[in-house]
Amino acid sequence: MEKRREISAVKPNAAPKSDVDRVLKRLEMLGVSGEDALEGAGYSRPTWFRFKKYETSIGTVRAVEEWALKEEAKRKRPSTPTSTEQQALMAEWLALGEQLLASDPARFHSTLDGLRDVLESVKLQQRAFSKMFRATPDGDR
Amino acid sequence: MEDDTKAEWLALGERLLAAGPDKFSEMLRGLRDVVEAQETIQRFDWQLLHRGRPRKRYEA
Repeated sequence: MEKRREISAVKPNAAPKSDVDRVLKRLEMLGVSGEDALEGAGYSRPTWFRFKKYETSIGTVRAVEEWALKEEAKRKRPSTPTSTEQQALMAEWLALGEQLLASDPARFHSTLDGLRDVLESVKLQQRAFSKMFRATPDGDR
Repeated sequence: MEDDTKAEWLALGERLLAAGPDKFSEMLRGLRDVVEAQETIQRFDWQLLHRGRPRKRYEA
């Protein structure tokens, strides 16, 4: 009788079930499909079928979890106002400016000066950051 | 408000909003406070004036 070597069903880098469950729960809370999450993490969409059957590696689980964490952080960030909200904000901005000019012209003009300085400093800050964090510092010479 | 001033005020506001909604909201809050304070000062002046006190004494 031929002896067959028993091949272990569990691969050494197989992800523990609890880790997969944790990621699945996280994706469910985010409301994204598993295929989308895997694609976002850099895997092909069919990988999802092996993932949900717990036949996945630690690396894949980790990558999907990192992607989910990034998505969560993105959603927590304050969103940019829509064009309607933007219009409402600009209308209030104009109304306040007019009120200030009518009640105290000197203060209005000093506010205008201050605003110019603020925007100049924003521009300088952006320029400084782009110099500091440029991928290739000598690339544009 | 004159057209030039209005255009500059709006352009600065738009640039500020583009630079960051948080920064813009902060500035808007500050402006509201300043305008409100101005209104309070004016109301106070008006009340003093109607009490017949010399207004000049209370001006900076």
